[in-house]
Amino acid sequence: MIYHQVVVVGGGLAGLRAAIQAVETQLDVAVISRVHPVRSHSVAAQGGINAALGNAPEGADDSPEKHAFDTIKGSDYLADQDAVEIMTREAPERVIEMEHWGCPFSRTDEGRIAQRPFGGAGYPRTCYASDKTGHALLHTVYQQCLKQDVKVYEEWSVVRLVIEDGECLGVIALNLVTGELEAFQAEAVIFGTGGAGRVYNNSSNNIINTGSGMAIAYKAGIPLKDLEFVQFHPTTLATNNVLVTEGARGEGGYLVNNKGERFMKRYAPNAMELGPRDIVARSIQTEINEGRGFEGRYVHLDLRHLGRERILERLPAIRDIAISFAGVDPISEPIPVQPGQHYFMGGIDCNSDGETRATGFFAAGECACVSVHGANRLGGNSLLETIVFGKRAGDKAAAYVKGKEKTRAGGKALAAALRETEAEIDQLLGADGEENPADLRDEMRRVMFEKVGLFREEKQMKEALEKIRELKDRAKRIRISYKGRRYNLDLACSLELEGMLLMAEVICCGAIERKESRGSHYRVDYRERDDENWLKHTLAYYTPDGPRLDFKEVTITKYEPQARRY
Amino acid sequence: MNGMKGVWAWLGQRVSGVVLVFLLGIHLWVLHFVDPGAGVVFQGVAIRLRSVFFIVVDLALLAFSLYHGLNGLRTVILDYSISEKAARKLTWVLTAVGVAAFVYGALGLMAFLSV
Amino acid sequence: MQKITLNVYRFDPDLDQEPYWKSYELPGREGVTVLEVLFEVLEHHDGSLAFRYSCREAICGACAMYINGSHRLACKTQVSHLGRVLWVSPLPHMRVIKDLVVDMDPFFEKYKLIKPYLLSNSKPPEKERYQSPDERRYIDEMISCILCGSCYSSCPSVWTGEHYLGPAALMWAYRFTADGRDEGDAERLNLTAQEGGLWRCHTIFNCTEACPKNINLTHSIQQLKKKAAARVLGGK
Repeated sequence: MIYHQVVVVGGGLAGLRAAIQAVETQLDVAVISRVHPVRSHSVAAQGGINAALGNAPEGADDSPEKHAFDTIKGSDYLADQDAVEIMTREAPERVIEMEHWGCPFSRTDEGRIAQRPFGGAGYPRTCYASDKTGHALLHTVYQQCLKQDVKVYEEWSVVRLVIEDGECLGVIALNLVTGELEAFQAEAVIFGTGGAGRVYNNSSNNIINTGSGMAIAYKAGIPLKDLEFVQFHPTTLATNNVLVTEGARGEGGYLVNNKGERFMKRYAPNAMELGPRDIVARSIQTEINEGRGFEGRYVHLDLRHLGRERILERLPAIRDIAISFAGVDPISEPIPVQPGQHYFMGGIDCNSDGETRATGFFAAGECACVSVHGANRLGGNSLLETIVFGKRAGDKAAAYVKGKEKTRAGGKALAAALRETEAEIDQLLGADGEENPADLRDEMRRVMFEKVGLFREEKQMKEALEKIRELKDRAKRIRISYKGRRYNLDLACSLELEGMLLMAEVICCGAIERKESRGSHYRVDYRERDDENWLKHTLAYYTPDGPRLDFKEVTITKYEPQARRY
Repeated sequence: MNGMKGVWAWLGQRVSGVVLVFLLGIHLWVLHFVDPGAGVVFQGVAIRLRSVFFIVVDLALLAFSLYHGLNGLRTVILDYSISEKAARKLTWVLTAVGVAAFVYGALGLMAFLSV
Repeated sequence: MQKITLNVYRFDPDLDQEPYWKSYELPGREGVTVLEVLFEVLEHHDGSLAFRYSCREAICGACAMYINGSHRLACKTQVSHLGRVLWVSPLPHMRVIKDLVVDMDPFFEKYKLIKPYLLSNSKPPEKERYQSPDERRYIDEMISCILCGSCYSSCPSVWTGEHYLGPAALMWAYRFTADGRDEGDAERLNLTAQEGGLWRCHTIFNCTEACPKNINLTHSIQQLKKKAAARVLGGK
């Protein structure tokens, strides 16, 4: 059994930021990550990170309050407003801290951090490092971890969270290289495990984003909040759904249909291409569905009028991506784009300090739901969420550990959990089933994108739920073709499949239950937002027969819900 | 391993390289154009090696080419990550070889001065 | 599209005496990448295959391999650009953990050794430190490094000298010394300008050729040498 005072699961921005915070208080901290930290999904974030710095001339009178208002309006009023206020208030400090740590932000002529306009924001508020902001931030934070000598267990996959009597004791993890299971005992565990994007087809996410962290917490009895709110990014590359940043529109790019029209004038006449993501994504899909797309599946994102120089300076990675994966050079041709799954607003139910229902268990980043994004996240707020709430969770976890009287508890429970997990894996490897896990996964992805996607309707969602339950059943009879333990990807992917199916089931149940349209959750059978009945969070609790749903009030401070127009 | 130790050897290699280009130029120029009539006969060489200017140039040529060559050899050996102790020994051995070769060569160059 | 023949380097140190090539015949598809072909094998033909992956968009650096005679990212490499027959092997000159997965620890240890973070003794200002757009532009190419290890695997000085820092670490050292906000020149030059460091680069340019992000690492290393020389000559 390995012991660390604080175990952080996930080597992305939220996890590493939390680890740094805990290490600075002289605690013994370790990070467990499925991949080397710089391979985490944070690295793929492109457009930027929001903070009301007021560095752009048009944004001089920006403020955290205005940032909060935009975020809350963008969330379709489902965000907890106290949490949003914390995030927008701490944003400038966190972003400046990144700069002090060496993050190579792009600069204004005066040498300050450059800011660009983003969707759903009243001011140019999004700080960026060309179109590789996530890459710049993740490398910076990883470098700080090297400076602080944070211990990292690379290529370990956490498969179980051990909670006894409401207290978190540690985790069980699989060493992918050797195939051995190990119990990690900890006074506090922080999850920064990211989203479950790969539950869907057409996802912009890294292949590793299977939501296993959320699923593990869910199975351990921690409720998941608002999981039916799944963000579809308006512009992912039509060939393989790699993200094409909102920054491309922030820099002035046009969305054009097959008639050559900038069709956003019909859907968001003021904000145009810079409407919030839910609205722009649905507008694009409507154009495609009504026959105004290209080849029946995409529209054009036209950057040509920006000119060669601006594209090379501000959007170099987008140009590389378009050339590599679509064979199109945006300097001379429009980019084919379509909406694709992008982000989970929902996640592990926690407060603004990352605390969950179990003492000693914390969550931050995409896997968590504080909630600051409500029903629809604004671009540039997810990177911000990771470092603001990563730090806060690290702080809180450190304080918790220092105040703890009885330490190194639960050795017995951990040993038992280790034995159980070992037996499960032996059984999985030994089973002689007939189902191919990859086929089940592909079926799940297809049905989720088609039936619980951008436009939702009761009958279809019920079909999806039925299908997911059928797949869950079939997943009990999977066959793992490789029985060895060393770097067994077949085994790792099969373990993730179970969690993905659980996530899909929770999404379906929440989406069927919520009889209204709000933010990313758009129902053609209930097209209006219904504040009277549905201004509340959904909570899903694990039971072996499927989720048990409950609800929780939304915190309103000073922004009364109003109609959302852009 | 502190103190930017490698910089002098590297710099020396560059500087000696540039100097060698000039010295070789002078050497070849003298051989081919200054007294081409003398040819490669013993008398001709003996006469040339009584010129102090030519001896100074050739002594410099000898010194710089020994440094450049032996330092280059040292670089090649260091590429194989030998220990610091072995590297120090190597430097001493090569220095000794260089000094010995220089003395031997210098004696040869100055053989005709007293004639 | 025509069928693809995929030849993969296979080696499991637990089971195999020595590595061998294994061939798979697979259906082709327009726009298919090498990474997708590897997944096709893993999920439908041979569950024992091991390789690294994550972002599939050339930004995470996980899937650097040696493909048809060059260092490439599997996710970015279109099969159609290479013809019908693929030869895929792990990054050369690195210890193989299994199949296409290599031990990256020496690479990351050397990266850590050069202190790849901003070194500054002065107290930072309340707001951001200023940096001109030109100065920022100067480091733009270097910071696009994804730490994939291609340069390291391609460098002959790395092959012969196990203590040589390698192209990526040296490039990152220069990236920081070239950043006006950094004050760690003396410290970082002390770390890199030793016999086993900077001076083992003989401008072979393999790293620059191997880099999937088109970074001219050799240039950065030469700039760092210049900095070191200027420092000793300046007597600082």
